[in-house]
Amino acid sequence: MKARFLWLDMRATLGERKTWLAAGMMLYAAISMPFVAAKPPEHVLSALKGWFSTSDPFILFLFIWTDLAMNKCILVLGVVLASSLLIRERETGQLAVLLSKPISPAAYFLARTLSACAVMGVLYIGTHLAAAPFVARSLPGFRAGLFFASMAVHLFAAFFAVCFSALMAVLIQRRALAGFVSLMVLSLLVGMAFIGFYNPAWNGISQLNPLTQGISVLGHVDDLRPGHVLTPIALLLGMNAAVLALGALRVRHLEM
Amino acid sequence: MHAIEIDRLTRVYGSVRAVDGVSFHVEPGEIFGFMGHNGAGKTTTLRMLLGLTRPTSGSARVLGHDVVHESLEVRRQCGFLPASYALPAHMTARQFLHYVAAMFDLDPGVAETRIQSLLQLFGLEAAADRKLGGFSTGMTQKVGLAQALINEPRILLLDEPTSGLDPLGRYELLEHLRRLSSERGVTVLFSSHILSDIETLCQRVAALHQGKLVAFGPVEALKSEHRSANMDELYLSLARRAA
Repeated sequence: MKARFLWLDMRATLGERKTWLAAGMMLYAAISMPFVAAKPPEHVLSALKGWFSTSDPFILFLFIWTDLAMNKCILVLGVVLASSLLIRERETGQLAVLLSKPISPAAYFLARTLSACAVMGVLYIGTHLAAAPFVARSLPGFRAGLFFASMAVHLFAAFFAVCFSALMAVLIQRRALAGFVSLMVLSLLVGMAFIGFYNPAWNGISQLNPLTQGISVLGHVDDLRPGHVLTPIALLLGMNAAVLALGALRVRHLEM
Repeated sequence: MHAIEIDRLTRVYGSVRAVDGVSFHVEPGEIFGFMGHNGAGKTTTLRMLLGLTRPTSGSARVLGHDVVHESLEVRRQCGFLPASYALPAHMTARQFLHYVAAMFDLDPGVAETRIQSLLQLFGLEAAADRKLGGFSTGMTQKVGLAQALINEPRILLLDEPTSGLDPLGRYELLEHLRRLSSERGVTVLFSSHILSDIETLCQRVAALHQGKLVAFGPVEALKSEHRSANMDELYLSLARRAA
């Protein structure tokens, strides 16, 4: 993998209009969520008390932040950053120039997807770093360790959203359809992410859902150990690697 | 060793034989004309030479490298300007050239030196830090040619490089190509349906018609063989004979 190419691609993606729109969305989440969490809707409060058996405002905030804000943000960002990967370049004729260089289509796909993951990482971590001081000041009982542990695991679910969207792009090869399918599947995974919380019978099968792995720290808010962070990260790394490998395999057989 | 050697190269799409048993070779350092009407198979042949399209049968070697099994090595030593392309609108010319240089694993210092000299060569210094989205056709074509030269290629594959250029841009481009060939020994495979450009630039040509090679050799010898006064007459004569 050409590290400088990856870096330049990431910088170029950061300068794109779509990235700025995504950054705006994340910023909006960072600013608005503490207000929402300060006075959550009654039905949300009662549901949360049922699932978490707590009225700790920080835990309630963490749930609202992770599910209502970040889960939705990562699914939209994943689609925005990666669902037109290679399709747009082919439609505009850029691919003919780029693939005439000594880089295989599979390596190009991997580099572009990893670069999109890096952009997602910058936006995601940046949002958390921006939100943390604001939340710490406005919310009693802010636990920085738990906040960032949850962020670390969920970040890899965000990478999954990017990798999955990139896979759909090269499998479907039509921009609108690839974006739509990515959005639908990721929405479904987001919607089912908490199913194991409110129905323990689904706990086993829901572990296959990358988004469930991404929010798994919320199940250990009172007894958080390194394994609760590292295990889901390792599982998500494996899922992401499998998705990337499928994408690279598909691209190998494409004629550009 | 020939710079480019093509042996019975064939590419079939369904029932269409886009390239049909084409064989010819290009010598090192020459500017070789590759002519034919639109859809004759020129672009498919160039794409096969770069390993971007797999031949159905036949073989081709570029600087001794097999285009199927050693395509990355072929691309490392070639520069390519496609007929129809776009450049990333959100990048500046300088950023894009650095981006392409990184694909060749060029050291950033070396890349910067080459980019500076290419910007100078094509008169793009003033526009180097402007977004490519705002470039005219002629300026885009210059950046396109600059990206094809960033690796100091030994072989330059140009697909319809003069289409879309105004007379001055066309003249400048042909002059650049002459200099590259004479001063740096770059082999140029110049594919075009604009026959006057080929006549101006090339000593030897290959002509394709409906995927088949209909002529290959020195321009003057072909003109004399077919009793043609110019390239237009020559091509018409070849096409009529092949039909």
